[in-house]
Amino acid sequence: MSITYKKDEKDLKNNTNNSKKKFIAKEFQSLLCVFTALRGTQITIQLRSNCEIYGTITNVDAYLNIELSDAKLTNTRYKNKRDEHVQEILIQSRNIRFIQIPDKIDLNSLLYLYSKQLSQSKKKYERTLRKPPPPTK
Amino acid sequence: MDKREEGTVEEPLDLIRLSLDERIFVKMRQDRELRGKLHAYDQHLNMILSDVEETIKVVEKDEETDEEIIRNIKRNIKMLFVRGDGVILISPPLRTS
Repeated sequence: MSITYKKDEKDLKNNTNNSKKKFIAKEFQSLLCVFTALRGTQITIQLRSNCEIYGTITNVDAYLNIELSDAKLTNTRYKNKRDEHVQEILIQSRNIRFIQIPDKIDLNSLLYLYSKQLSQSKKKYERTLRKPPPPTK
Repeated sequence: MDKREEGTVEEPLDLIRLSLDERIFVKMRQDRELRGKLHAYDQHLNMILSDVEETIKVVEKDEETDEEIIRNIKRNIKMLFVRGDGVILISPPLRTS
């Protein structure tokens, strides 16, 4: 998932490229780089419906939708039900509550990469401060 | 005009930066509470916490006496990514000494 963005100054000044601009800013400002490095590892995702999924990450997109393969679904509320085995599953990011990160991941280098990207993106996509309201006459 | 330094507090979200690498208390929806060390966060309040103690408050009804039993289920998770849309509040833990 690589985005090619033309560094044209005219395009940056124009407001017509706002949607593309926001999309790139969304990628930089979220903790996405932590999870793109997690591809191929096995994690546990807890959904909002009290269901836990243990599987191998195959893909993570910009909205943190996660594709897992060889997944096992465990229902934690009703413990009588059996675990389900799914070959391939897509988890929409809205339904995720927690993701348990495995121990072998070197998180310090990922967070350093995240803070580096964050400081770089601040120069490009700095949020405009709100101007104070005009004085009442 | 736009002089932004890393130490200044301009938006409410900048207050969370003061809690980086410290233990915080997170109140979540669905009667959950988390206590853990904050490693990273973003503007959606997605967070990465470590050494997390999760407390879930469960209210059960006793079938015989019809009383409500309030139980706290505790769980320990070593490294956790918390998705931000379930977060109600973030607080440094209360110091009782």
